[in-house]
Amino acid sequence: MSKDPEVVLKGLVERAKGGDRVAYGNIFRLCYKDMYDYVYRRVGNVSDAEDISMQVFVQGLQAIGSYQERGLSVKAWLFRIAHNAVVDFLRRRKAPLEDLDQIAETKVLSRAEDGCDIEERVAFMESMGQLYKEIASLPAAQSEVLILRFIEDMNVAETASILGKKGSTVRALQFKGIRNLRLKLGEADTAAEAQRSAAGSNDHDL
Amino acid sequence: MGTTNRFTRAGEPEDYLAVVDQIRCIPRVRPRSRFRIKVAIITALGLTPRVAGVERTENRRVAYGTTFRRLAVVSISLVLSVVLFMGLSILAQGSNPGDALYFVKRAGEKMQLAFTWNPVEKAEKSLDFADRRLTELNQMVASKNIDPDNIAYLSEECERHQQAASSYAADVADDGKSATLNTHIKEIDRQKSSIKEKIVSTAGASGILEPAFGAAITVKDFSGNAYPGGSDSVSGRTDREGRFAFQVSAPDGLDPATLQTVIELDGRREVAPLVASDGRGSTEDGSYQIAIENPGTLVPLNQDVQYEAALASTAVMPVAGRTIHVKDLTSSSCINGVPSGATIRTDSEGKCSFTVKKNSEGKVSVITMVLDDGQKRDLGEVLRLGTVSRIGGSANAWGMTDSAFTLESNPPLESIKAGKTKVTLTLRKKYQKLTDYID
Repeated sequence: MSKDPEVVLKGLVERAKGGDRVAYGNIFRLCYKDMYDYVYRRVGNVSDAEDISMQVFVQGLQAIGSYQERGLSVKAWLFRIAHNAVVDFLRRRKAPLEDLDQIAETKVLSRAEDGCDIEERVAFMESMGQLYKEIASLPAAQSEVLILRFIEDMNVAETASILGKKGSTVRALQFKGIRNLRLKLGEADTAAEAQRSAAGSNDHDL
Repeated sequence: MGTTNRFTRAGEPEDYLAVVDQIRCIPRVRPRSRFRIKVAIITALGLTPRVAGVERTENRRVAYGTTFRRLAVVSISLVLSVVLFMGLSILAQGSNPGDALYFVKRAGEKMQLAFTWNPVEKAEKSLDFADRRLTELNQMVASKNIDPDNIAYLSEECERHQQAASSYAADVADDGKSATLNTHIKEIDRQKSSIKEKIVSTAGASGILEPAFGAAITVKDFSGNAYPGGSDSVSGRTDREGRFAFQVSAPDGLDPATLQTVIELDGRREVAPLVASDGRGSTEDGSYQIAIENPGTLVPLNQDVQYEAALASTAVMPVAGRTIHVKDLTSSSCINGVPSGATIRTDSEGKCSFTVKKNSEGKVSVITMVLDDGQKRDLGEVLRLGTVSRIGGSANAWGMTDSAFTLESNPPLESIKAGKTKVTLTLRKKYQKLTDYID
């Protein structure tokens, strides 16, 4: 008989708080893939993302004894540790994000919808790549909120806790981020349409 | 009009929602397989990973001199490198991950593959390299060196060579050769499963288990010749790594057989010898040997526990009908219901049995045997028994009849010489279930 995942996680948290490292390890395994995605999107490098993820594991292991669930899931708690680790890392690195195309395109193909042919997959990949590039080019505070809210599926309270902001601030950043993204996508569509028109008229001339 | 939902405010325009929907379609980036394997091993085995510095060394640009000097330096370096590489390659053949020359071995393999063009030979070479990775994994497991980074690396490399071989095998026209290659590929799959099981069981056997954090532990000496913590006993709690450190003073050297521990954790209380007995005894001249079947180290309090023993003789002496007196030197148990010990007799095959009932948990019982064949011959200590009892309302691992913990000493107790020594005991739980190490 399968158990409710929430119940299972709660049991793991209780054991982990009591010092059970394997229980903590199971919690980490349930959460780390989403956390890795967030870290990778922020730092843009596989090796750095892996190192930071391991760092989060160790820091979480040291701190799990003091974790209290006050409206903050253990997954969001790990995300908060990850966010702080990323902030420290970026502050030390003082370098811009690496190739956004790499981030956008890496592994996207493996997640393309089943049943799609190659052309559709490539088109999907390109469109997702472009969309992510636009998100990443927004002001950091706005892109962080959009990534956490709509890619990592965190609610407003969890996002606020992870980023150390108020819920109202998160809502405002979310609104501005989507508005700016909408404008950027609109501009990109207009530019693409202009290119297509130009190509079409050239063919016509020939 | 937009609808109120978890993500938007009431009245949001549809194009706002459309953007949100698009963002939610962005697929997550998946960690590479090597990293997933590493996380699975670390989390399943309760290990603490080595956390590499997050900062990366920046590339440094080295300024060369004039063009001529640059060319000369490069040319000489190339020649020296080739000569050195050829020499090192020969030395590197037996190296393993972590050895200084391992990278030379791998570089040599890459070169071999690069200079092979026939798909059959390429497939065979790839399978050969996959076999080598499996051999290296087996050697690592055999030496109980369960290092997550190396295991993850070798596993991924084996997988990569295997997939390359599959790819080359698909281009092979000869059906016979193709079938042979595919058989080899399947054999590698079987060996990978076998290694996976070995890693989990070896990790369990070698003590890489859940550290027993927060156990109440007492170390006591009964000889009067050693002073743990400066007196006859020392107590404390294990830390997050399951460690408990104390200083022991032994003016005449330490006899670990006189030490016992009391461990309380997870509703379980164990009073156990620090060094277990192997259940064997023999006379001084070696003419008789006795062996206890399943000696164990723990028994429940106030319950009869039966032991089977077998008497043997290498000196062609009769073992049938021999009288053996069994006694507990610490007087903390009854043998066959008798506090002072009991006399038992071997059958026609030299076998005999007796019961032990521990009625006091304060001291570990030291069960000895003396054979009487007209002369009293001391067979020595054959059992060292502690007790296990339940404390509190619940108990983990209650079904375990032997110790639920492994205990390692640093330095080893047998090596402790006369004087003061700091000893660190590391306690780990045997009863934590290890989950599958691959997602």
